[in-house]
Amino acid sequence: MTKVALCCGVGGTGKTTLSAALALSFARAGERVVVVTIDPARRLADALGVEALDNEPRAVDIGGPGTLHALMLDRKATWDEVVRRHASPGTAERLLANRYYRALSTRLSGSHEYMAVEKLHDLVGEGRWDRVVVDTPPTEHAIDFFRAPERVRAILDRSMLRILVDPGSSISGVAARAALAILHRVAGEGVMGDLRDFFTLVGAMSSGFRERAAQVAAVLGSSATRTWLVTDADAPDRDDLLGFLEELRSRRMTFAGFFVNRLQAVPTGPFPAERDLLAADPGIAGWTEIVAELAALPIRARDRAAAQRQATTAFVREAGGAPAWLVPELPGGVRTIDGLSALAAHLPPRPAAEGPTA
Amino acid sequence: MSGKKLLDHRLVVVLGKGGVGRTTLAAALAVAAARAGRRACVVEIGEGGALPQKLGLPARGSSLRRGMHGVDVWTLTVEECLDAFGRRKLRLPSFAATVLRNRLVTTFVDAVPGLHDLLLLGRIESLLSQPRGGDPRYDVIVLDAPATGHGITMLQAAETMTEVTRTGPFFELALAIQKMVADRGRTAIAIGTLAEELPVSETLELLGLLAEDGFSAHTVIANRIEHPPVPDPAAVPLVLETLAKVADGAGLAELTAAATERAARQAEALDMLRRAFASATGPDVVTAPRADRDTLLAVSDALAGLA
Repeated sequence: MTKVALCCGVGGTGKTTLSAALALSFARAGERVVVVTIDPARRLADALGVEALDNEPRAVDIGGPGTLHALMLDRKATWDEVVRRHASPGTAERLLANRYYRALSTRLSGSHEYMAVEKLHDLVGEGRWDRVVVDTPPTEHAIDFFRAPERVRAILDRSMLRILVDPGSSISGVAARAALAILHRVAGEGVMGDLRDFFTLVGAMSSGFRERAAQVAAVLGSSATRTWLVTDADAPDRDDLLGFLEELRSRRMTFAGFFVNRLQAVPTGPFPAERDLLAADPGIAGWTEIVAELAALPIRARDRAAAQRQATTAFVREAGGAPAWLVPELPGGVRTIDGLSALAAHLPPRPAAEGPTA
Repeated sequence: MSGKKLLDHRLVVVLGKGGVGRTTLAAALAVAAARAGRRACVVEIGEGGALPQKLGLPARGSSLRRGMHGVDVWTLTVEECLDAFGRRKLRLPSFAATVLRNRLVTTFVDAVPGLHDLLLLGRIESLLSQPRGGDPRYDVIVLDAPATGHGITMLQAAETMTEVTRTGPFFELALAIQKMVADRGRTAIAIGTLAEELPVSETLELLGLLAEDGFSAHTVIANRIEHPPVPDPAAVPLVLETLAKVADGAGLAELTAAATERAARQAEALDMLRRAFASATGPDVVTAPRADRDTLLAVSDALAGLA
């Protein structure tokens, strides 16, 4: 059975790079792994040694014993695949040409998350992977990854919008009638006309969407799916964490733990006394000021490392003692597969670092 | 970018990827404007963001609150903006407010690409252009744009709408927004970034995307700049040598070397940014420091020249 690793977290935490490192780590442990990246920087493709990433899995040379493939989610291409799969050829072509569909497939908010989940479902269905690692799209809140697909599905569900675009259909309730009347006034006939065409076409497919939604929910809720939260050691967001844990609980999903990224090393002293430094003046202009700067370095580094550890400890406690993998900051960032390996050394399947309080 | 200062514009849109400290920069820009005597407001999209706390307010509260330094914090939600749109543009009766929260309507609003962003920008436009009784008025509104897709989709919302429809109230709203965001005398774009190779190259990509849509950035703000511990790079070897001779100096030498290297990498990335904007039409590049405490004030001090 294909296992799934979801890397969630807000934008800017280094999630894409850690997802690739996690995939590499599992592949080096002998698994056949594919990683779905979202909008990776050019440098990640370089680090993986692939010419370019696209919507199909590309092999990465890792020298065994497992295998690693990487792909970059192409939202439009994935939407088009979904349409071609579920619609008759005639309907598919008309849908692909619909103005509303084109806007929806590239610009609708939430469609990135929806397509990530679709791609995940496809890859799990292929049966040729031991593990699918998914880097989730950058969002304001980590839980958006789970909520956005449902919003998109609500839109595609014909019971909702066919009512909106077909005033002749039976609507119960005064509020709904009033809402409909106002919508027609607000939106104007242009929007309503395109929507009507779109939902007429989608109507033929929507049982396929619903069926698939149920399958995807089953994959996400399966015990083979593990979800990690990537956090920035400097800027963890407690509200976001609590919302995320609550969402996982309500979905009966397993929280596998944290990847605490860019952790600073605690500087190990001893450090020289300031007066010894002052006395050692090598004749550099402004030595007194330089000494003040130098003496502040260990204090700043200690403060920062302590604040990071304190925040991590609090996070682990909030999550009921969930394991945390601590990933140090790499000076200069990841440029090569060796850089990814250096990160992978701190990630599963290796056990989590000892509790940060220890 | 020549001409008006960044905070002399009515609307300042702060773009930038997650992790660059965009919300801090937006808050600090508003504080810099307020300290220069302007009536300033900073807008966050959606509840539960980090903005209110940066200005000394609880995370959640009413949609409009007065924060530190006299800066107003406005939390905009799509529901509230749709409501305002209905009242203002369509003169809908008061019962419409509840109707607009009907599930049919919220799903519809979700379903039209670009509509969320358009309604949000429409609300901001109404605050700037049509002050009426009850609505506070501002000299400058700073918008902390969403991180997703660099926030650029928000600027493209009007164009997206005109692709979907050419008639009706939404189309008219789109035209008004298009006019507002394209007016360089009124609207300025600031991009937050970090002085590291990857964020800098992503910023250059973002500028390319903006240019495709006819936009240009007024200012690029490189955040969390660290100064080198030894100001003169030529003196570093001698300093390290000296530290090696002092009792317990080895650990400090290591820290000094690492901090020097970090600052040098940042300087190099800043150079890359400045070289890309060598022409007179490119955006200004300004820097904001990494601060251990009182970050907002430290950053706002650094940005005081923009007001």
